This record gives sequence, structure tokens and C-alpha cells, in this order.
Amino acid sequence: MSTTKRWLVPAVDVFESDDAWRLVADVPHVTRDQVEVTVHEGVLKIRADGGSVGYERSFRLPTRVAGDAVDAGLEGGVLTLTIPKPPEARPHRVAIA
Amino acid sequence: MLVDWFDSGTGVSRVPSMWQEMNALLGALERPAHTAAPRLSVHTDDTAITLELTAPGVKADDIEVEVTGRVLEVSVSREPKAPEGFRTVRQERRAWRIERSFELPFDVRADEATASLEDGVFRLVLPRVPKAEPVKIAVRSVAPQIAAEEV
Repeated sequence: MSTTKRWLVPAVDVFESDDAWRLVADVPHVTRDQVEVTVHEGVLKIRADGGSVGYERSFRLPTRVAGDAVDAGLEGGVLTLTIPKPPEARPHRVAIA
Repeated sequence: MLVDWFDSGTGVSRVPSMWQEMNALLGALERPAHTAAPRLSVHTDDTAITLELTAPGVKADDIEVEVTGRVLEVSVSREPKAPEGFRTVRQERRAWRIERSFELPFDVRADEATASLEDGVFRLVLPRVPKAEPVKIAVRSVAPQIAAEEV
């Protein structure tokens, strides 16, 4: 049986709080060890190679983020990334005297 | 490589204007097909019928399967929600509900069906009731009647 690999752009939701961004991506068919998340020169890249199907997508981050600060989890074909905001990207509350 | 930007859905004031220009530019580009829609495939062979549905984020409780005679009914749904404490910036993962009814090409053993939900893929295997094989009947040689009379 011949299998042709399909490369897909995963559907992604982006959420934001004061402290972090959260990316949620649909990546059915892939397992934990097949997912690769990298941050390089302000671009966050998701790549998942599941054999018969692969996913790839990149996002330019609004601010500089260290790659090791990104938390990644995979469950039920859904990849969840939490990217903490650096202090300069968080809203600053000015105290009124 | 296509690089996406976080769209400035709600936080416009926090986004530099260059971002908005880039967004407008990227918005004009044609985007490849996303995985927002579920993919359903049905495969039949001599031993079973296999149904496979991409269902990322779907829980076992969101799946219903019913076999009545030669009719298979499948219903699956999902409803992605914003995580608590977060506001939505971009939403591509759609809520959907699939209700499909299939007429099976052969009788199946519904009591031996196996259903699994793994890595966001729902798989249902319905084994086929074995086809009635022609049964060979051994023919014994019976002593002719005439011989019996002789005894």
C-alpha cells in the first residue's frame, strides 16, 4: 500500500492574559515525541511529523521570548503552548497617589 | 515559509502599527487549508469495516455509536473553549458536530466492535460476520440394498 504524506497547516487558537499567551493547535495523529516546538529570532515554530501526516506553522512573537520559557503539552491530538510574557509586555498598573 | 502574526483582535492599542500593516499584507495572501474540519474515512475489507475520524479535543463522552442491523449511526461533537483567565485573540479551531448514518455492506458483529480514541483520532472497527462457506459433506459408501437382503 502506498502512502503519500500530507503536510497540513494546523488550526490554531490564540489566547492572551496579562501574564501569558496561549496557543492551542489541532494536531491529530501525532504523538509527544513527534512534536517539535522552537523559538528562534522571535519566531515560534510548531512542527509535528506523524508519519502519514505532518503539521507545520510559524508565528512571529510580539516580543522576545526565551525558548525554554515555553511550556508545551499534548493531549488528545491538541497541542497547548503557554508562553509567559516578559515583564515589558505585561500591562503596567500605575498607582494613583 | 509563511509566518503568522498574532492578530490584534482585542488588544489593538498594544500593537504597533507596523504589526497591523503586516497583518493586512498577510491577510491578502492565500492560506493553505487548515485542519479545522474533521476528516472521516471508512475502509472495508474481507474481515471488517473500519471508520476513522480526526477528532482533536474530543472526549469519549462526546462520541455515540449505534449499530442496528446493517445501519451504523455515529455522532461526534466538539466545542473548543477559551481557557479560564484568557481572552481570545484568534479563533480558528471550530466547534462542530457530525451525525452520520451508514448502510453497512455486510452483517457485522456489533458485540465484538472495538472503539478507541487516541492522539485525537477516533477509530471504530466492526468485524464482519464470516461469510457462509460451502460445507463439503462427506459421502460414505453405503452397502447396496441388495447385499443386505443376502445376509
